[in-house]
Amino acid sequence: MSSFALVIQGAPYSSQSALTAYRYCEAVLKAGHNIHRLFFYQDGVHNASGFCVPPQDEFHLPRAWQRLIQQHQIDAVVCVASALKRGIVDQAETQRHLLTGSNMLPGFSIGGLGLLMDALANADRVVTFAP
Amino acid sequence: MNVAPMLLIICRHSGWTAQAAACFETTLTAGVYDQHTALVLLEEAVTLLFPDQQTDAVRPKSLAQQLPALELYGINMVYVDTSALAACGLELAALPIAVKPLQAGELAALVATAKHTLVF
Repeated sequence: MSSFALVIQGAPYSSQSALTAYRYCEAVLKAGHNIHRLFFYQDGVHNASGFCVPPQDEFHLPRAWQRLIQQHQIDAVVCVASALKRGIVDQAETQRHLLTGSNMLPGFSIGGLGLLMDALANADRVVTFAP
Repeated sequence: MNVAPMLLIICRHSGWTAQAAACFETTLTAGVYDQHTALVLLEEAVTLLFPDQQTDAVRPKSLAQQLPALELYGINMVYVDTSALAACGLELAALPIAVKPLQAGELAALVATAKHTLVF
């Protein structure tokens, strides 16, 4: 069994990278491996948005991520600088920046690049999904 | 002795993009965390090396001014795609920082020696 860290840099519906990362994550888990961490970086932070409302006949990628994360108790980190820049905030950041509401899905957490470095140090394999 | 880099960071985007900024930020963070890191500039990323960049009029911060920070953060291995340099009319001797030329086909060997590769 190997441990994987995935770096997701693409927004859902803007390129193939986020959906490919999701399917890769599913395959890794199905094969009996461990996901050490998901790191959502740059436009990838939109995968954590609770405000995505795709048409009903389309795959709801943010909710699918949330289900997978909660089902397998995966550490899913959203880069704080990328998230704030793009308007993805949890309740703590909402209060800190005096915003009107939060939109980050439960299951995701906000963190810094140090957690990416930790993943690089501790995961057996790190796979990047860039658009 | 030339020790194999533990972390290889590859940038493919021009120096004025969010991707290049994120790549640069990650590279410096890797330096802070004492990761043995090599940075590779491919394709449009070599535009980061244009001398005398003035981007004030078009807003994005020029990463070129931050290039000297790489050495301060312990990043001493910067590889540059020589064909991209030639396409941009840049010459190795005129670049603002010391780089190692990367010929076609050498990237695969570099990736093979790295523990992890991050691609931007």
